[in-house]
Amino acid sequence: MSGAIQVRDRRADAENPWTMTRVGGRAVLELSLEGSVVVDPGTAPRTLQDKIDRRSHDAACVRFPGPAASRVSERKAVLEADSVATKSFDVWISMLDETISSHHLGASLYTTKVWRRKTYSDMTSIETAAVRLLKNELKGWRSSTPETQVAVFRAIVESIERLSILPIFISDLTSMATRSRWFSLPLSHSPDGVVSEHGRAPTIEMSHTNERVRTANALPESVTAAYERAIIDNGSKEDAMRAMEQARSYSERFLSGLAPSVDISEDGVVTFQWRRPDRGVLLVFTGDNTVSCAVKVPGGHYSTSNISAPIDEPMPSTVMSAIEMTR
Amino acid sequence: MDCERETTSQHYQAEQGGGFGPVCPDETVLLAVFQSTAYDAALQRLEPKAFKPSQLKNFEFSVARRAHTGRSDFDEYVIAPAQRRGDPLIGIASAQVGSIKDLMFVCPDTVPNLVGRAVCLLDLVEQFDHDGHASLGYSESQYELTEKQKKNVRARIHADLADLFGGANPIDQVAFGS
Repeated sequence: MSGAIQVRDRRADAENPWTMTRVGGRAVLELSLEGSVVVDPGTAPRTLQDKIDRRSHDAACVRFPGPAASRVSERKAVLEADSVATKSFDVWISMLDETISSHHLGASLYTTKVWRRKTYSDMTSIETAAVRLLKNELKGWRSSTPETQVAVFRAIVESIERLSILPIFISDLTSMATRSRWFSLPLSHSPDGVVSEHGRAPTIEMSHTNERVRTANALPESVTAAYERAIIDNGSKEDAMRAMEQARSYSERFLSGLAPSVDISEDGVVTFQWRRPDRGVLLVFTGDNTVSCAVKVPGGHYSTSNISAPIDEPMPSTVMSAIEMTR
Repeated sequence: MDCERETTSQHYQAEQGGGFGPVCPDETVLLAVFQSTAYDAALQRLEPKAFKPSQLKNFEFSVARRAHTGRSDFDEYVIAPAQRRGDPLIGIASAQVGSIKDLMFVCPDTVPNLVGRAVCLLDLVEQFDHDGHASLGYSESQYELTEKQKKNVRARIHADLADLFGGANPIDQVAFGS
């Protein structure tokens, strides 16, 4: 697919190279490098072309749904993407580090390992990740002068451009994409305006990690599947593994035939939830050999309800009764 | 004291009289629900996962104060940037500030049981925000909990926040401020 995607870069017309806004809690750096994306007919799935055709922002992501894939192949795609992303980020961060240290902002990006993992879960582009990092991780950022902030932002822009000339990380966009249900790949561009298959770090859409279990015996497998797709902070991985194993074991022994929503948070907490508009039951597994049960009744809250039980004992009857009322 | 920062304006130009002051209990806050937002389409409600610990720890969970946010500001600062990223708007969820501030947590693993505010809501406006911006974050009383206790308590808080904000309504049905 080499040469299949092209970006017409209008950077020369842009007076302001970047702007910053806040969206849904995220500070977003938007490069004013507008371009239109063109896909040669027949070189990408129709769904991909549809998505690309709607873009006018060359620093943005292309998203497209793939066909329903088996769990094994989905997992493989996630692992491959993770590997690619890690390599790209390592190189990119090391380049940025030089700039950051030269402005005495008080931190080394390379040492903020937690950040790198954390941003996977909700970043939509490498630029977004950069701004979040600057604002959250650098102690000197808020107190730095506007001139310094502008200089650092510009350094980010330049580093992104340099990133586009890194060695090949992605060899086959189409096949990789169709192995995952949702997959986004930031487009990169080179000075001559042609995007090759030398893409930047891909990101996985994580909005689909919530599993609604539909069959009686599917809960343990659903826990495993949610875990495999979850993006978990580096510092919480061990806890998440324990929580997943305990939730799976608990569901095998005591929750047969039940069908809650299953979720794994970025800090490694496994939750099962039975939910109706006015009531619900929440089971929380943090990996500490207990299950925490919260029952919400009409007018009440989960936050003030808590029944903690050992992981090897059946669920309290009051909680089971509450679950029955949500079914 | 929980949420002490709620009592004074956190607007970056507060000393010069900028902003609308602290968020009041009788206000309503708006939350844009995008395609990427964790949203249960079957239940027509936000999922607990929409409330991310990484954002709530740092008061980075953004909402808009309805009374102080015009439709044009909402379009410019919230919707347009997301749409340029290919993240279309699904709708607008909303919650009463009083309900958010009334939300308490109980940690049964402490003796005596620790009780505190679940989240705080600040009029945190920085240079690139619109003046109606506000930020949601965990309350200070959770600082004294262990990490395990925090995770447990916060998982329940996320579920409550999802219910408080409820479902997304079409943006044209939202009465924005001026």
